[in-house]
Amino acid sequence: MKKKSWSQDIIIAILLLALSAFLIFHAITVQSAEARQFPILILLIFAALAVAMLVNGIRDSRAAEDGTPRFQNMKWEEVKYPLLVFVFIVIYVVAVDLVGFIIPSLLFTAGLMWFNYARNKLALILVPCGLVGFLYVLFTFILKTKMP
Amino acid sequence: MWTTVFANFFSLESLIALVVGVVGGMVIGALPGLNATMAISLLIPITYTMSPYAAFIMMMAVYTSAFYGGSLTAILIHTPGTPSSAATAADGYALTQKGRGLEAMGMSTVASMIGGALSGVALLTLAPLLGKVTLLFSAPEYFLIVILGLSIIGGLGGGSAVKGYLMGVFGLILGTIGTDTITGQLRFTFGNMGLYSGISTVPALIGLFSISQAMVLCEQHLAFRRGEHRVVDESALHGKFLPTAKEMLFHLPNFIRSAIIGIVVGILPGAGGDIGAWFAYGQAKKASKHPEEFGDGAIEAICASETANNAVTGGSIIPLITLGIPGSTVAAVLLGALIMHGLTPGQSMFGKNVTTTYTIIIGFIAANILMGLIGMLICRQVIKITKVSDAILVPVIVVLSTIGSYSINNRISDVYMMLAFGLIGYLCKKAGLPTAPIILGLLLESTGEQGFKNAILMAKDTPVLLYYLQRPASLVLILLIVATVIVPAIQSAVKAVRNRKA
Repeated sequence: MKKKSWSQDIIIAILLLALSAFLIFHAITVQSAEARQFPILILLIFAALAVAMLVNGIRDSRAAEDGTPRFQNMKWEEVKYPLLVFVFIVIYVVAVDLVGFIIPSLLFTAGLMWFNYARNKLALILVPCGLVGFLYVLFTFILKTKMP
Repeated sequence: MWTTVFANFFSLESLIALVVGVVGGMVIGALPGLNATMAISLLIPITYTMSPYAAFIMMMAVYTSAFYGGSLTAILIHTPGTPSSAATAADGYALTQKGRGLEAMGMSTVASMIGGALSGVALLTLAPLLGKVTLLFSAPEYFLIVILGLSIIGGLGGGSAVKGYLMGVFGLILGTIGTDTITGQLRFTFGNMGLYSGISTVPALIGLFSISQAMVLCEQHLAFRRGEHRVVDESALHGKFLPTAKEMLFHLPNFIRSAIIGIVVGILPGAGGDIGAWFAYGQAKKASKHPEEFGDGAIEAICASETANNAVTGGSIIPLITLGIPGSTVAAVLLGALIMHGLTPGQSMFGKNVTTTYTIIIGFIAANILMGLIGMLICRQVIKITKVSDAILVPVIVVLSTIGSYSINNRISDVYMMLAFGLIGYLCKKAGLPTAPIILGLLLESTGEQGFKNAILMAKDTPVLLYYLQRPASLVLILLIVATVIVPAIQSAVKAVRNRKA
C-alpha cells in the first residue's frame, strides 16, 4: 500500500491557528477595548489566512495521493547541521553575554571553521584574528561605539 | 540647495562610503549564497553613526554593485551570485567556454554601469514628481498605503500568495508587541521587560536575513567534508575585455531599450531585477538579427540582461522614497534603514530632507559610474574571491551579525532577539514562507494602526467604508490593492485551467 504523504503546511497552519487563538484570548482578557482593537482585527485576518493555508495544504496532500506531489517537506537530513550550528551560535552569544566579545569570537570563528572542515592552519589563525581585530578597530576607534 | 548637495557628496565621509560600498557590493555579489539584502541588513548598524546621506550612498552602492558582482560568477562559473544575474548565466558561461569570458565580463561591466546610471537619472527626474502625489494623502490613505505595501510584497512569496500575506500580517502582529502609543498599555509582552519598547527592527532584520542565510550555507556541511570548492577557469580571463566604440554604437539601441525596461520594471511593485533582466533579454532576442545565438553565447544577451537588472535598482527606489512602498526585499530593508535614520518616505523627502535625498541620488549615480570604472580595474581580482569557502563565511557572518545587533542600542537582549529571528527566518525558508513581508509588517505597523484609528475618528458619523469610498485618493489606492491581490489570483487560475486542459 502506498504511504500517504502530508504537506507540512497543514501542521504549520494548525500551529498558527493555535497561536492566533491564544493571542486573541490574551488580548481580550488582558488589554483594554481601545488597546486591543487593532491587534484583534489583524489576528482575525491572520487566522483567516491560516485557514486558507490549511485548505491549500489539504488540497496539495490529496493531489499527492494521485502521484503528483506539489509540495516539498523539510527533511531532517537537510536541517540537522544548520540546527546544530544554531546551537553553537546560541552558546557563542551566551559566552559573549558572560565574558565579552573578543575571546568568544576568536574561539567561535576558529571552532566553526574547524567544524566545517576548514583545515588550513594559517586560515584558522588569520581569519579569527583579522576579523576580531578589524571589528575592534572599526567599532571602538572609528564608529566610537561600545563592544559587548 | 545644490551647493549643499555637492558639499555633502564630496565630503570625505561620503566618498569613503561610496568606494567601500562599490567594492563591498561587488565582492558580496560575486560570492554565491550572499546577496545585497543580507549585506545591507548587516550594514545598517555600521552606518548608524554616519550621516544619513553617507549611510545611504554606501547602502545604495552595495545594492547596485552586488547585481554587477553577481554577473561575474554567472559568466565564469555558471553560478549567478544573485538571482538577477540568472539571465546572464547561460550566454555568459557559453562565451567563457568559447574562451571569450573576459569579453563577456567587459560587456557586463559597461552594461551594468550604463543601466544603473540611467536609472539614477530617472530617479532624479521622476521621484520629485511622484513625491507630490503624497500631498493628497491623509490618515486613511496612509492606512491603505500599508495595506498596499503588504499586498505587493506578500505577492512576492513565490509559490503561494496566501503565505506572503500571512507573513505580512505576522509582521503586523509582531509590530503590536510593546507599549501602545495611544493608550500606554502593554501588549503581548508577557512580563518581559525587554519587549516593553517593542521588537527592535535592526536585530530582527539581521536575524531574518543574515543568521538564517548563514544556516542555509551550513546545509553544505557534507560538501565541506568532501573538500568541494568553487573552481574558476583562469584561462578564460585573457583576451579582449572592453567593447570597442563601434561595438558600443551597435549596442546603443539595446542599452537604451533595456535600461527603459529595467527602470519601468523597477518602478512596478513586485517585479525585481530577475524579471527586468529576463524581460529585456526577450526583447533583445526579438530585435536581434541573430536570435539563434541567444542561449549559446550572445554578447547582445549579456548587454540586455545586465543593463536591465542594474536599471531596476534605481527604478525600485522611486516608489520607496516617494510613497514608502518597497517593491522588493532589498527595498524593504532599505525602508527599515530610512526609518532608523529618521527619514520618512513621502513628501518630506523632497521638503525638509531635500538636500539629503538629492545627495543620495547623486551618490547613487556616481556609485554606478564608479562601479564601472572599478570593475574595469579589478573585476579579474574580484572573481578570485569566489574561491573563498563558505566554511569561512559562515562564522564571519555570525560574528558580524552579533556585533551589529548589539551596537544599535548597546543591549545584549537585542542579540538574543536576533537569534530568535534567525531561527524563525531559517524555519520560514524551509517551510516556504517568505521573510520579507514579516519585516515590512513590523516596520509599517505603527503607521497602519495610527492611520486606521485616525480614519475612524475622521469619519465621525459616516460609516468608515463609505468614508473611504468618498475620498478620491483612497478610492485609487483601494483599486490598486484589489488589482494587486486579484490580478495574480486570476492569472494563476487561468494558468491552472490551461495546465488542466493540456
